[in-house]
Amino acid sequence: MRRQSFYQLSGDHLELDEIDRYYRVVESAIRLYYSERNPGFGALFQDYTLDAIQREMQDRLDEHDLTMSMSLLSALEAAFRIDYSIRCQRRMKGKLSRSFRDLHAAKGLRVSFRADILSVWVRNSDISMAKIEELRNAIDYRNWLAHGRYWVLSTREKYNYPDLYAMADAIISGFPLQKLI
Amino acid sequence: MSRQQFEQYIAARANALAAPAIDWLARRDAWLRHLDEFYRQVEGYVEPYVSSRKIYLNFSPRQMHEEYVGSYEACSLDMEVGGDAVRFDPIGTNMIGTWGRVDMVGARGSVRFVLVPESLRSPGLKVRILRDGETPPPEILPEIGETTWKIATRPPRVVYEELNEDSFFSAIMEVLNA
Repeated sequence: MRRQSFYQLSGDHLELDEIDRYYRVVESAIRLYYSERNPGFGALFQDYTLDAIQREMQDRLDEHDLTMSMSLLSALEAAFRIDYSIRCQRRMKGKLSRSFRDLHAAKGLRVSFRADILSVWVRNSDISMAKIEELRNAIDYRNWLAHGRYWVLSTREKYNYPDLYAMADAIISGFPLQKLI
Repeated sequence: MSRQQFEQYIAARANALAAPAIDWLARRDAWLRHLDEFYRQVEGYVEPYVSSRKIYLNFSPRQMHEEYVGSYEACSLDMEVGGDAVRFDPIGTNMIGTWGRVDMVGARGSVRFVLVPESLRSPGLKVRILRDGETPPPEILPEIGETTWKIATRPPRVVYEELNEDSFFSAIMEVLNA
């Protein structure tokens, strides 16, 4: 049986603006839930102090920030993997695409975004190492989120949804990535 | 296969070593100076209200720990505005795309103050694929001294707005939703 060479692209990946629309809808819903504009506010929070309501709301908002940060960083990885797949399958010209084909010949489906795909970009573009390290650290943060956050991550506090969105948007707009049409 | 991986590893390490090293102690000290300037700017904006006892300010130490930078102490600021609380927390200097960040948090939301190069209007980036025979350009790290405080707007259109009296009070109104 022939080994599977590429994943079939689903087209189900999310664009950043879709993620952000969802982020804002849920954020508004959480704020409304904990506000006196919620018709059930009195019954829901009859034993709460105002401080306790604020704290619980902030906990829910923080959790929302974490889960949506993971969505953002997953979308970022998907954008690079789609580009890699298109460049290889369409046998595109140029040293970047050729390097990706070499990578694919060596690793097939086991190609790593953090170690392999980004290294090819470093060697074949004018992207700075500082930016790539920034991106690799963000991927470590994504891995921490994806694996259940059970270990202490010293860089945790520097990440939040708005900053990650700004980074992901700058990267997806700034890299000449191939997209599914 | 393993030799190819080894060569890729060596090439990546050589790139990393060729990059100019960051003096993290100097970076921390510069960040703390910029943080002081930020608080002086904020105090200047609210001074008339502090004098007339409509706003109260309270600084308190905040223990910081950042990768590479290490442990150090910075200041948080609690501001009481007509009975409502607003807090300013320094987040650090080793941030994504910026040289430092302070979060202002109120009951209705938060605003990010970022330390960025004066000329930077948004977190934009432009990456070019190298042609055959071309090698990656040398790494140039901007200096923290050339940076200024700006307000980062919320997604989806993130831009860095000038920090001035008007934008500062708009930001306060946003987190208080007054």
